[in-house]
Amino acid sequence: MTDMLAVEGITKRFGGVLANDTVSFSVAEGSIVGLLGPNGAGKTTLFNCITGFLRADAGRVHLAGADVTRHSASELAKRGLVRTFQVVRVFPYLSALDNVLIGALLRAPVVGRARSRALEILDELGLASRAAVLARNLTTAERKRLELARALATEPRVVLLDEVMSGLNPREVADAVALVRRLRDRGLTIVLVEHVLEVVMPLADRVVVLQQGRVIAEGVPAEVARDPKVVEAYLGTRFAPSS
Amino acid sequence: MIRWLPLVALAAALAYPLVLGSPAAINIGVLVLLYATLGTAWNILGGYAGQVSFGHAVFFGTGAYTSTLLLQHLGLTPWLGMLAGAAVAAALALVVGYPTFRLAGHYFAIATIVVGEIAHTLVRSSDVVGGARGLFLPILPTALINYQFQETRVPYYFVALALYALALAVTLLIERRRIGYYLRAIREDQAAARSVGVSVPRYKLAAGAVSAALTALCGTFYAQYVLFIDADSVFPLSLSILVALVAILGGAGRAYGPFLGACILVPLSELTRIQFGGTGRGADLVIYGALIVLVSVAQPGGLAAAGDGLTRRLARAS
Repeated sequence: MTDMLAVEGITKRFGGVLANDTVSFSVAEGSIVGLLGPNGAGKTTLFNCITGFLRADAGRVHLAGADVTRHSASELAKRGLVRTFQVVRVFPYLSALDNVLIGALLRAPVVGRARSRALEILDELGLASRAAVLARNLTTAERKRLELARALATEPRVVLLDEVMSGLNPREVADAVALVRRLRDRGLTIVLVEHVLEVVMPLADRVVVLQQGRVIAEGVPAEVARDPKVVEAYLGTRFAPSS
Repeated sequence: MIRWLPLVALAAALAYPLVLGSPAAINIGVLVLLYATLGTAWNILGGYAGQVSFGHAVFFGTGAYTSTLLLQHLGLTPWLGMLAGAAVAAALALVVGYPTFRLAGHYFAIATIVVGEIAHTLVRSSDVVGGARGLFLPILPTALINYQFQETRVPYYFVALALYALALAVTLLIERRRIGYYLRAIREDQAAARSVGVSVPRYKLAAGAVSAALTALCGTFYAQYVLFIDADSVFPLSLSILVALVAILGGAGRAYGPFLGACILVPLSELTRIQFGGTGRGADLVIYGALIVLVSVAQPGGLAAAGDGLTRRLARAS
């Protein structure tokens, strides 16, 4: 399988803090890759660098074989790479329908067509009954799903989900996991940022673990979970099995 | 009944000068329509795209000066001068917008005040464009081609009505198309807009250019109506603020909002001027201030939002 997304040597520095240190990984088409790491490991910074919201100091990003380094966020969305945000960002004073409609306008420039596409997506994500509600009046779980719906409406090839599960109750997490699986089965390539291991491990095909801006482990979840460096990063040296 | 409201309003607007024919009434009608048009033009950038400008007098002045200078030096009919003014203003909006649209929120608003004051000062001190003395327009015989109507001011009223209709039509056209949705997305959350493929700078520039062009048309109209312009009458900060107030009081981001705002603010300003005369300078500003406080406390969406609520209640009752 070919790599849908390839990240090579991304480095990002904020003053004296090295947030990302030559981070490289790749994501095969139609797979789920989990990006893990404790708080402050540089996951969101890496996301921002890949999706055009921050300019990396060094490194390259390839999308479906094309070099998209330094492309703007909107340009990347046009090329099929979209993201969601860690702190949910809906259009608060627009209806749920209009939120998704705006996403759909990327591929369907005529409003009528975009609206019917948006209604389909809302229906698919179980938000059809909330279509007329202002986004700000939705629950947290609904707003997260709305943000995903808006991203999906752009008909992406790759979605980067920044902590879609955080702040959800166990039932909502189960729903979200099922949804992510369904999207993958439909051929979408997915990168998940999470710091909750239990969510990502059963879901991801591969995981990449960041600590202090560096990749410390990469591979299939079962192997990575046993990696002493990963255990140490999450639990401290006391629990690390001596290898 | 509510469906017929726009038609009723149009009929009332057409009948107004015939029913209330006094010069003072016509003058108020003209001013209401002029400010409604200005507010509607401002609304495209400030209301829909959420880029609050306190510098729109720049475009108003650009329109007034462009057509007047073309008339004085080349004898060009103000109708063409008006189009030239709109084109110059749109180009100016692109040049000024390119750097300032990078600024967020309040910083953008501050930058627009600065740009406005720079333009005001430049025009006042440039002798090429009349400097502080201003420009008198040549008095020409009443004729449509001359854009001058001496005997009665009723034709001005209809020109203003046509300008308002144009600004409203442009707004409604934008509102229902992709650009309208993208502008609202930019107002709501720029980062989120970018994330779904909205080229934020391009759409801001487009909104700025359209808004500036429509504002410039009003500038030419003002010049032809008053037949004298100077920097203090067409470039002042107070004009920029009034235009923004008209839209905000009426309902920013709503097509009919600025018209409602103008219906309140213009007669109010005329009344206070009659009531207080020269001694009451600033009385209208006190009232504007009070109105803004009232709007932001009671109905942040402006009069149009209050109207929407009322319409919903009426629709439910019937």
